[in-house]
Amino acid sequence: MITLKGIPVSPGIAIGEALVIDNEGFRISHSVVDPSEVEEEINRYKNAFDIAQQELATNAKTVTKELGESYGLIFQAHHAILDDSMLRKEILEKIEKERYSAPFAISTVFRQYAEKFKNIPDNQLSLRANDILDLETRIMKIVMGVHSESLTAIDKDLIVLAHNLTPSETTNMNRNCIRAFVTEIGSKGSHTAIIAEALEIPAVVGVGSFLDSVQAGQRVIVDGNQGIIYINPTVEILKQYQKTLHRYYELNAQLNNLDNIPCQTKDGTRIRILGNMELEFEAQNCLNRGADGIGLYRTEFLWLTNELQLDEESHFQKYKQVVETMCGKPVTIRTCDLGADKLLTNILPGEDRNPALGLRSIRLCLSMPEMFRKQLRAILRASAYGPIQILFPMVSTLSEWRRIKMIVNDVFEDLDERGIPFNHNIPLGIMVEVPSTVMMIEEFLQAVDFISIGTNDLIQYTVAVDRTNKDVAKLFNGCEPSVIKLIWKTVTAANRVNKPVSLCGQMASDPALTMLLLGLGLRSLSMPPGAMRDIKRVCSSLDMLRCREIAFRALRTDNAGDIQSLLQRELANILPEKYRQEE
Amino acid sequence: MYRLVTVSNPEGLHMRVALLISECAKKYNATVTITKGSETVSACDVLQVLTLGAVSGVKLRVDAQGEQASEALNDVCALFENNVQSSV
Repeated sequence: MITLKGIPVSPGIAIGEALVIDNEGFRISHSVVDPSEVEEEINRYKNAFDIAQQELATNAKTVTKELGESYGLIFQAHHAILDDSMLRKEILEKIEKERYSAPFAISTVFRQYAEKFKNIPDNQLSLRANDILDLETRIMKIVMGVHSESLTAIDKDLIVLAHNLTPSETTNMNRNCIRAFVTEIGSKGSHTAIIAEALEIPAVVGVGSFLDSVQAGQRVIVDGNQGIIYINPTVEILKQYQKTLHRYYELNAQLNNLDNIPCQTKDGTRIRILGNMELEFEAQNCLNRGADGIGLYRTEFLWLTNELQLDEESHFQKYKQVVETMCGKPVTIRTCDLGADKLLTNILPGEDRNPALGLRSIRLCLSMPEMFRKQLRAILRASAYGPIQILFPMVSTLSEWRRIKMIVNDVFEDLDERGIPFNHNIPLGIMVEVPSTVMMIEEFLQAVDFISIGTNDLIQYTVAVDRTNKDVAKLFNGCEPSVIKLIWKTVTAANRVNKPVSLCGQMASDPALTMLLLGLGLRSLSMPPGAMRDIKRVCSSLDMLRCREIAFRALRTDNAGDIQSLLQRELANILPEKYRQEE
Repeated sequence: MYRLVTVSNPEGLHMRVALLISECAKKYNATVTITKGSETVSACDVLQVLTLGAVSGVKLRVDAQGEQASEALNDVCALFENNVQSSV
């Protein structure tokens, strides 16, 4: 038995078979083929190179147009690398002489080149190893896509063990079979965590290097509550977890009846519970949990999977599907919140040394107006099918807001001219996640229809901490008095002028913080569907007067630690059966 | 025929130069190779040129053979002489 420990990012317990995904995000079957299949493997490899080059040529064009020549050049260079005669010869030899399968041959040769680059003493040149690995991933996706080895084909109870998971991988998995995720890297808020929460399955990330010691098919237990993983567990441990799992199901069944009751506090104050979602199917999950709407529909994923080929029609179809699923409940669609680094799939090492403060989110959209317009058109077209509001992320100045409005008005006119129906009164709002926006909140509130506080970024920009950096991650804390004061200022200002304000981000799904947030004046919280039952239960035991007292006490406390223990103590008093330092 | 060149670019022989070299070498009816120490690669092969790991200050030998050898040699060497901005 091997016991591993990591960061628990999505609660629950799962037992299943190990599915190991290799370092770079795909499985390589170290397979040798039959002599009769060599011909087919050669075609498979050539075909993959052709498709990759077509993709790269299109990407080069799009990126050159949108971001300038120097960005497009990367894709041109990648295109040229695939023409390299030695590279091709080496791959061909591996298939012909050693009868490697196409993926195995390609991967082996690419890794050799990546190693060569890593060994170049010059830092700038050795970074080219990333380009090689990026190209490898691209080709692997193509090679695997046409064959049955892709994750879609899985049909057992499985625990996915991987170095890291990317959005396109997690969506292509057969969700009905995946019981848990475990990854070597990652942190709270990473993609794996978000998807696991959405699927309501346990996930443990940041385990460190362990994939080498696991074999596919071994039995694995994942304890997403404590962040523990057992590989090949002993019979005693297995029995113990099977029992816990059983209890878990029973408890969940009891909580089921909370789903149909609107969320309100003990004294009858109505609290709106909204859903955070990314993939279309999650809308139904939110609805099943009794959500009052979608507070945050992330659309980054739609940009990533189609690699810059942002297609208005497919966005429109997804938005329409979500708004129709929600049966008249409002859907808040957030426009693309990516960094330039993510959009170009990490092939720009060193280009953006400080991505959090760089070309990202609304800034990236404003720098690529054509793309931005396409997304806005798609959203507006969907607004003819149900209540939609548009949320713009990371707006930090009013001038930025005015530029956004100008573009939105352009799109309005464009649609009107073409006679396409949409909601002309569609509410437009901003994410409040940069301290500068809080400082100017009164002015912003006159200009926008609603606001949503994004706590993850607000904390990051307020205390200047990157929570994925483990050396400083401890400083990332929603209970920082500075953060609480910013939230308070924002909520108070919004309530004063009667503009809707909600809060999304991880603070909304932490039961210990609920009374603080309500006490600060929030009446609308947006969270993943998996958190809704807990938050509803906590709300139903809260008294608004007490919440306000707690909030004011927190506002007069000068350090995060004291605020946290104040909240923990209070929660334990309200719901002793669940939160009094259990097992 | 051949010529000796020095990589004068502070970033070394980077991706943009490699791309330009290969595009240039492919234009002519000539076989162009680049040698660093004991390693010789075809100038048309971007990946091979990059794996030379030619950092700033390294001396390279550019060889050309064939009908348009001298034109090819001139053009390829010019790329080393006019510092091409990296930015990639």
